[in-house]
Amino acid sequence: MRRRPDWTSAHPGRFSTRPLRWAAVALALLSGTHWWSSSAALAVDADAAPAVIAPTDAKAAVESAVSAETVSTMPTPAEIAREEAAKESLERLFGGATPGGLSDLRAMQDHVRQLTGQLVRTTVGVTVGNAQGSGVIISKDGYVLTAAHVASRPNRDVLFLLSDGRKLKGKTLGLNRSLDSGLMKIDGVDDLPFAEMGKIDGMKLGQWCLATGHPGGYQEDRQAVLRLGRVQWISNDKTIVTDCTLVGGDSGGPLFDMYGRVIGINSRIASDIKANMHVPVSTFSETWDRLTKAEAWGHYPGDTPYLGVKGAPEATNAQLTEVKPGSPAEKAKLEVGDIVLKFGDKEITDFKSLIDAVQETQPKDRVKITVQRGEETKELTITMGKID
Amino acid sequence: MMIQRARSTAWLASLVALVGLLVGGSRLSADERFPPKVLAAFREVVALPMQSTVEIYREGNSSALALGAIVRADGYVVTKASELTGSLECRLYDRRQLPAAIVGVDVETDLAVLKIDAKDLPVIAWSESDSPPVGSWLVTPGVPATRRNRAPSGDDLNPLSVGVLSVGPRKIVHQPGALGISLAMTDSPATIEEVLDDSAAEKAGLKAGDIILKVDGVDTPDREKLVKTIGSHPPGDKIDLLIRRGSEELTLEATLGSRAKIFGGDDRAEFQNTLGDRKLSERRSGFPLAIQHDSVLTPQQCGGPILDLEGKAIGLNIARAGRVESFALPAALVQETVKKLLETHLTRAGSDEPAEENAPAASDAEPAPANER
Repeated sequence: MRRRPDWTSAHPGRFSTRPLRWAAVALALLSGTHWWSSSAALAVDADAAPAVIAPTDAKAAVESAVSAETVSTMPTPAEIAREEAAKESLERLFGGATPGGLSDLRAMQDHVRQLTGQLVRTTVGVTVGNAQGSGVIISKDGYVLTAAHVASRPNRDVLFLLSDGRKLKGKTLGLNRSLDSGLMKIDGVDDLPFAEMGKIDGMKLGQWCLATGHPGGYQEDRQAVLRLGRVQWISNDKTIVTDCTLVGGDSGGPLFDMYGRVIGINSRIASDIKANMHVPVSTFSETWDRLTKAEAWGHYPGDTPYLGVKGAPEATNAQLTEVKPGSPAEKAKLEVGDIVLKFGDKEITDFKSLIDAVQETQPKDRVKITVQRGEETKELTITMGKID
Repeated sequence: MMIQRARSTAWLASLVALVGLLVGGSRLSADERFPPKVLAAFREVVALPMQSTVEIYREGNSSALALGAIVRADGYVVTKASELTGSLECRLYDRRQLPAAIVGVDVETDLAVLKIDAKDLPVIAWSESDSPPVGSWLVTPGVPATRRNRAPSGDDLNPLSVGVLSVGPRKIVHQPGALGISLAMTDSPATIEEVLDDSAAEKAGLKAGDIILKVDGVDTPDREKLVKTIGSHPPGDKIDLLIRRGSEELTLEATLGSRAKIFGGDDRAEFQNTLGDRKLSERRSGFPLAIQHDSVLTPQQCGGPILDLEGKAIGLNIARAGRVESFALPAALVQETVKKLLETHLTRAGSDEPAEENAPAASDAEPAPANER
């Protein structure tokens, strides 16, 4: 891999400053939901799509991380012992131990200072339409992890703003709205600095972590912004909560463990300063095929589409047994006894297939529905609502 | 079977769990993020610098306006100018609370130098190196609470807040200030068509139809010149407006608001940055050079020193600027500005009042940044 220029090097004004456009972190503020997942680590092969591999031995990783700092002269046994002790103490600290005093703080600081260049180099600003967010490069050929609400839809044009000043083009791929994970791809590159994806298994409350991103949107005179914090809460296979503070524009940026491996993607915040939510990285490996195929699925919390009808699940057609008063279905003049034949461009064969078709819409979508009412076939248009 | 109902309920359940967790969190520690046992690891760092840190009060008030750093043993303190108001007092580490006079203000950096009547004070030790690298620990000392009959101990000796250096020194361009008026489409003269509700213009008493002739003595003959002149001031600046209303000319004083706030567009940013009813410094942009760090501070915790792990002041906290950002002026800039302000003050004091260099010449002077332009 060709080395990129150091991130600290100035890149003269290639981009015009523009008013901040904020990626829609706000959806998170309204709903404040959270998730967490655990799975095997995902590592990224340079050329091929990422493949699931065996989790790295934590101790081996610590050794490689620490040995990188040490000078390669012949160590004495005392030095070796001291080094071992230092490694162990760092590992204990990063796992959530409270720093005991200055020597612990210095050891942490030395380690973090050395790591930050790499973290900043792999963090990108992304512009999709008029939304700005962040992302992290996880392969040298340009796969970028981000948040679903930054990507918004598959196959949209993306402008990637790299730490070395490059402006590169690409597309959004798949996204899972219910977990807020999204994938993007930078076009026509194979020499990018990238971050390794970490593992979620064994993550502990109190574990130290680092977050980067472009709060307020990318600014040409400011590198990706570093934050340090600890894991506050790991929830229900869906969300990592940390006290690495986040704000609009950070969405899609990475949460790293103390060895620089991506463990989460910045997603949303609640009012407590310690409530900063990240998508667990494991979901990307679990849904990698769907993401690379540019599929979009799921619904943002608070954005579940709503039709307002009931049917008999065991029936051999989608005949409506109830139309909820005031619902989108009633407003569209659907009636009890109607048999739904078509929903949008989907053929409806039973009530289950109607549920599936509804799930693929978003609130406010306008959908054409074909129903059989007695002898008649009618076409109606419905505006989808959402479940409060 | 109601479509999708089950999933929605699951979301709600997890939301409730989250709220429960967060409300239960402790707010007792000075630092909103880190508990006392983490802060305690930094005690050695702040032990000495704490003695060179002061709290600044408006006389008679029980909550501090800002922190400050002692820069000369004979009673000079540097702090954040725009937080100061009314008659001032400094509370020292040794529990003394002494009257303070503003002896110099630098608008560009938002620094003020105060004078207190004291001697042999411990002076803050500035770092002589350039800004530390990104990822370095940064530590903000406070002044230990005064407790009856006993010296500060235990968690009193913890720093106020800790964080890491997020971005190295850069210029922070100021957000343009705004009056909150719309102008008539004619180029000249600059005529107010509408005064927006609750804007700086309304508070200053401007009315539709007023013609703005001058801003701080500078002619504003047309729209363009007026817009440019106003925009060159940051929000929070006080400006004098010479206006013509009918046949009379009036001078009105306006305190500029933020363009984003008045005209919208950044509502979401504002909302997120102040989420949880957190306050930001009124003056939080327009600094010639600043380090960005992630320590969680209140506006009143700015104005004091910020330290590296060696206990050296690498700068002075100058603004709480957002949910993720606090700004500090680098040590070299602070020292240079203090030197300049002291030279001006001492020269003036030397010629006006040769007998007493540190007389509180303007004992209850308000800082008047706008007027010094």
